[in-house]
Amino acid sequence: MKQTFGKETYDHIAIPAELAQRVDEAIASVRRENLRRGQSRWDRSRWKPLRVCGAAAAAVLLCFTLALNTSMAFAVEMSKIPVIGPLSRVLTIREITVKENDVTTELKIPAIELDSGLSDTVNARIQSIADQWIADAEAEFAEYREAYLATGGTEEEWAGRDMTARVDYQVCYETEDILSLELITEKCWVSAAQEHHFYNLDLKEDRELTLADVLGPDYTQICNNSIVAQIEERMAQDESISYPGFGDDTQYEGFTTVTPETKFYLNAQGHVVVMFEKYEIAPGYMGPQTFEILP
Amino acid sequence: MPDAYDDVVQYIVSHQEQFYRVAYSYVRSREDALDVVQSAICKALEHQESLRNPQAVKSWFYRILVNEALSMLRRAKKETPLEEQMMEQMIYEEAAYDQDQQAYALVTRLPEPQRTVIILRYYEEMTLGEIAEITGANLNTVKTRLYSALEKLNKFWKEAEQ
Repeated sequence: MKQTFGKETYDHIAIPAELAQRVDEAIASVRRENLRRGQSRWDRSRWKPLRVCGAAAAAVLLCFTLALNTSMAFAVEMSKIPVIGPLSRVLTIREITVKENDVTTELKIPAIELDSGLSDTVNARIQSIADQWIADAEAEFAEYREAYLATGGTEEEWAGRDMTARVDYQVCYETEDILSLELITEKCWVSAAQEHHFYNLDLKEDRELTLADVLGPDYTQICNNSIVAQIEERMAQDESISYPGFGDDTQYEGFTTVTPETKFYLNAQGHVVVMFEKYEIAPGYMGPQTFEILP
Repeated sequence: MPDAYDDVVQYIVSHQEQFYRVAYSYVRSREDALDVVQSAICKALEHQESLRNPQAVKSWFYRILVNEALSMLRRAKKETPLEEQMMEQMIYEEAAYDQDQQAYALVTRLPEPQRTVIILRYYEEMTLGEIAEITGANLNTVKTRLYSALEKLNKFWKEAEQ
């Protein structure tokens, strides 16, 4: 008899249709459990301070806050002025859904129309961000597919997969002079992570606004005081919340101070909202952290 | 740099079918094998911090998977390695099977730890070094187990020839 080990039989063991679902369930149940316990025992080991960008980023939120005013500290001021009539308009200039090979691409691309015509740079930026996102998503999917097939997956097994790349937007806030637009980009496949980009633009001067422009020269002190107070309040209210560097959690350094590079946008009230990415100042399970800085 | 946790999730997702085949070769039941894979994934992700070296994700996960399969067998008291006699009987009774299927049936009924060595060496095509890592035995012990398993298989091949 041929010296067979049964490898051929082994390789032909039928894979149940529900295997993928059971695997996903297992992954999701651990994720839920960790969220429920909200405890950082396991999470801490994978917590990396200041890990901002990642190849696996699955969603990018973009927030453009467009100010049509030249004065400094305009944001808070303007939010108090009653709306007479919007100068800006947001239009959907491209809306398509394409299913090609294994990837579904859903695009809803906005453009901003202004009397001043200054939005061209912003529109071009939205367009290039959307294009880049779709290109990245397709490349990642292709890479994943290759890895899947290289590790023993077959074309037939692969065929059931559906991966989606999506670009969408919503208008957060619009007054006479300020427009806040959120561009949402998503990749849906294996795992999810988020990355946020904010652009606060002064269109008349054609430049990005800084925290100092909006909050004044003492912005560091104003933000730090507010953030520390909010962190302490959150920890006092919910014991499952833990910020490294606060309370008993001194093993890692967490939030210390805002910098000129700290991300922010303006919310519906025209207030500054400071944002820290997932892992930046808190364990991953807590997600990105935002702090509204009240005037 | 993707997150270490996400790397583990991705490794698991992309190798799930291999895990199922390994699990099935121990528990020999579809439902039990699905349970083994599912609980191995839960245990692995719950104790992801025990993976010190991300390069070692394969042997780390297989160790959890094999242990999960074995404890499922213990719980179900299903571990019934066949006596020599029964093996011979099986060969005749299952004559309708081809030789490869017979060999597979025999391997899945080998006593531990010989079964694990054969599954990992010949089905999952691992090195003896990797098997040593997974089973927590030293290399010489793994070799001894492999030879004793091969001896049993040799006996089977010879008997099948007659």
